Amino acid sequence: MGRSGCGKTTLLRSICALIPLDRGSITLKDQKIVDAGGSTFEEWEIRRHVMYVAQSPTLLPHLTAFQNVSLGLQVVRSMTAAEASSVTREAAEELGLGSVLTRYPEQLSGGEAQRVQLLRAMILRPDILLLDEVTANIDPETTREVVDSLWLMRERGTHRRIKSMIFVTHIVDFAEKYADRILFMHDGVIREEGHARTFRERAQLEPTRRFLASNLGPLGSGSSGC
Amino acid sequence: MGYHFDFGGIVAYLPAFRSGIWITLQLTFYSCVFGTVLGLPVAALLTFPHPAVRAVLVLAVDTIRAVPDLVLFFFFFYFPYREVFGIEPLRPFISAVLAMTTILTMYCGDLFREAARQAPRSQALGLRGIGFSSLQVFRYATLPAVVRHALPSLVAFWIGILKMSSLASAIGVNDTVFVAKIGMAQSYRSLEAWITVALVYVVLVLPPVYGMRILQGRPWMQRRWLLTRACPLGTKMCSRASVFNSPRTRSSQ
Repeated sequence: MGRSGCGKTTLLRSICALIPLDRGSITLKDQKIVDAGGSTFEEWEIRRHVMYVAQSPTLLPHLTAFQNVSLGLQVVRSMTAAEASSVTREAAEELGLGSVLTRYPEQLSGGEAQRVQLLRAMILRPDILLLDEVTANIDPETTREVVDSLWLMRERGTHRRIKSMIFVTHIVDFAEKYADRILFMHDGVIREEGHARTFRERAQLEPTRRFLASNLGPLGSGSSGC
Repeated sequence: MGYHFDFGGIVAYLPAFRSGIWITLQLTFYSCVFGTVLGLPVAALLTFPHPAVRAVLVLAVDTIRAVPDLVLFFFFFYFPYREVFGIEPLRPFISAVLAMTTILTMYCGDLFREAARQAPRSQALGLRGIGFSSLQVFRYATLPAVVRHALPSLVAFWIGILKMSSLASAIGVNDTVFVAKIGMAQSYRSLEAWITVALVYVVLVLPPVYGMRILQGRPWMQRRWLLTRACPLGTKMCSRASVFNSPRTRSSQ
């Protein structure tokens, strides 16, 4: 969490090599996967393990929701069309998205589009999933649907292989409810971190307290875009 | 006193018109294929990082656009190929294809560059984020967006090339207009000959025009992209990255 412009998106995109590092490195399982001096992996290889979902709608407009999801399985996980189709349908049914599979992105509501977008990434079973304010552009009720779907996707057996999720959000309430740990960023640096359930009480720094205090309701309407 | 139309003299030339139309179609086909394909590398060069390369190419595109089409036909026809390249002078047909290919290449280069520029980056970011390689992103996100964006203009360019092929008769290509000129010289029925030419072009041009109109009405063509504004990556990349270099960050580390 953190205020707009504090570097949350930059951090997420740096972790998955969408942005080159100026200095330092990213280490996963004791192995440097991204390095300022040049990585030993192709960028796309890194992102097959550490995936990133942006806040803006990114579904391909010329493909249906079904095609958008199954394309990833075919290209990234080298599944056949039949395998991808079966996995996509099964996962979509689990999430209650079965009825929207034949629709094109423009025919989906904001929440549905975001859920399909999340499904497209989660179904690929990355080791780490980076979620960049995926609830930023949708209304509070839809936000709840999306977040519920997100955790449903994580909990269901088919998708348990996602070991970790880093979720940038401005909704303190959700972070406290669903996250294990909360990290607070300010001016490009992680200033505070702690257990999600006790983070609010134990926050030490003024920027953190100010941010938490400005989160008015359960949907965080008090802060913009963090 | 009314004008008395007499197509009798022109009717005798219908077999010649048939071969003229075939030449017209060949001229158009080759020019469109070569011009469209060559437009892709030109588009890539127009976005080349080195400003000098871009400047040279922009100058070339603008120059070709500024020169009248007919002058380009004569340029390629009268070019001293033997003296410069040591090859035989080109046949009128080849010269005409070369001229039209050059013109279309420049137009297509500009069109593709603009279409690629307007393709939303968010879709590409979405695919990159889940592990698609650059080539796969181009194949599944950028190319369809470019095609959808450029196709209507591209069809208009192709129709323009079809009509432009009528200039080829000026350098001696036996196309539809060339046949009409012979017909009118021998039958003295100029208006009838030109009306015949006009009808031929209407018959040739209307199918692609209506075809494109039907295609544009289809959801696939109307389904552009969800978000017209570009994704922050790219535009904000530098400013975001600079967070790491800011003095405040350095001091805090």
